[in-house]
Amino acid sequence: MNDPTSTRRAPASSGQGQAGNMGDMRAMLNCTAAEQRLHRFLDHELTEDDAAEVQLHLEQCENCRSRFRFEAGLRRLVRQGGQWEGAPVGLGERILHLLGRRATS
Amino acid sequence: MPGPRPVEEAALDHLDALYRFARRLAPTPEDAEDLVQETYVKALRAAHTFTPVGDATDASAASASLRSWLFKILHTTFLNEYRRAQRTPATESFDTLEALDATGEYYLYNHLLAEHGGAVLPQSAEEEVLGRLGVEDVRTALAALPELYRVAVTLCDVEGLAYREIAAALDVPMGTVMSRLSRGRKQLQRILWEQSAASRDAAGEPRGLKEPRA
Repeated sequence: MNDPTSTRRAPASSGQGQAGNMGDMRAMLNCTAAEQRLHRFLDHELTEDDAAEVQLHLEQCENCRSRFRFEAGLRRLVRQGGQWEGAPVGLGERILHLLGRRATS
Repeated sequence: MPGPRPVEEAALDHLDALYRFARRLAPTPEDAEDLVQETYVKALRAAHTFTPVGDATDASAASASLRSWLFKILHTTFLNEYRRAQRTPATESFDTLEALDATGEYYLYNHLLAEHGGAVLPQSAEEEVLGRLGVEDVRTALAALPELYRVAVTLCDVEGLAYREIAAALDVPMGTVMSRLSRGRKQLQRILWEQSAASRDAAGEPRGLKEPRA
């Protein structure tokens, strides 16, 4: 796999903020690290601690907040686009019928 | 609390999702219906072999593992019967791979950002773009994805399966799921960007996408 961070960087101000309280037990994520976790964050595939670090970064970084919000909006759109249809009327009935026959035969 | 429902009854909860998945795979709606029916017949026959993964008292976990089991039966049936008939296994072409791996993440956002020329995209621009892209555009873009990516993106982004459920359904390692998702999402964004640019050019103004294209 390529390193997604090597192919492009956001323009100059990375907005990663000064790691305010250095005594904080949680390491401050920079934008690159936050972006690397973006998909897994939106997919709920991060551990609680890793997600909390992302959350903390988002609270402090407008650039990443905007990027994450956009990707989340796009996910909703893809979901709506993909879920527009359901099974045709009658298919469930036909299947039940089919299963009933098989189950008793 | 009622006891566990029979597998064949609980399986029907996933009918819509299975049908949608079949539609993304099979060439025609009729084939998709056949594929779904066959999936249920096979599932019933194999119901005694189904063992839910995880905590047996957790109803949503049980439902999720039943769902990935059903997706797996459907996908395997598709590969064995339809794919074999077509004699064209789905593969990742080297050219596509190279192009996708060279593409950065977040293609759409980064292009919008570049167009705007700032470090951060104004929320209004973001909403404008998302509002302009309609479900029809998403459908077209999904259909244009190569099968391996369409399958991964559909299971994750449309049906909301967890990575490990997708891995179970497709019988591939988690790493494979993640790389297909990453490449699939990049390509989806690229297609959406191109569609958006094309329709903007055609309309001569930026609201072309929402109009139904009869």
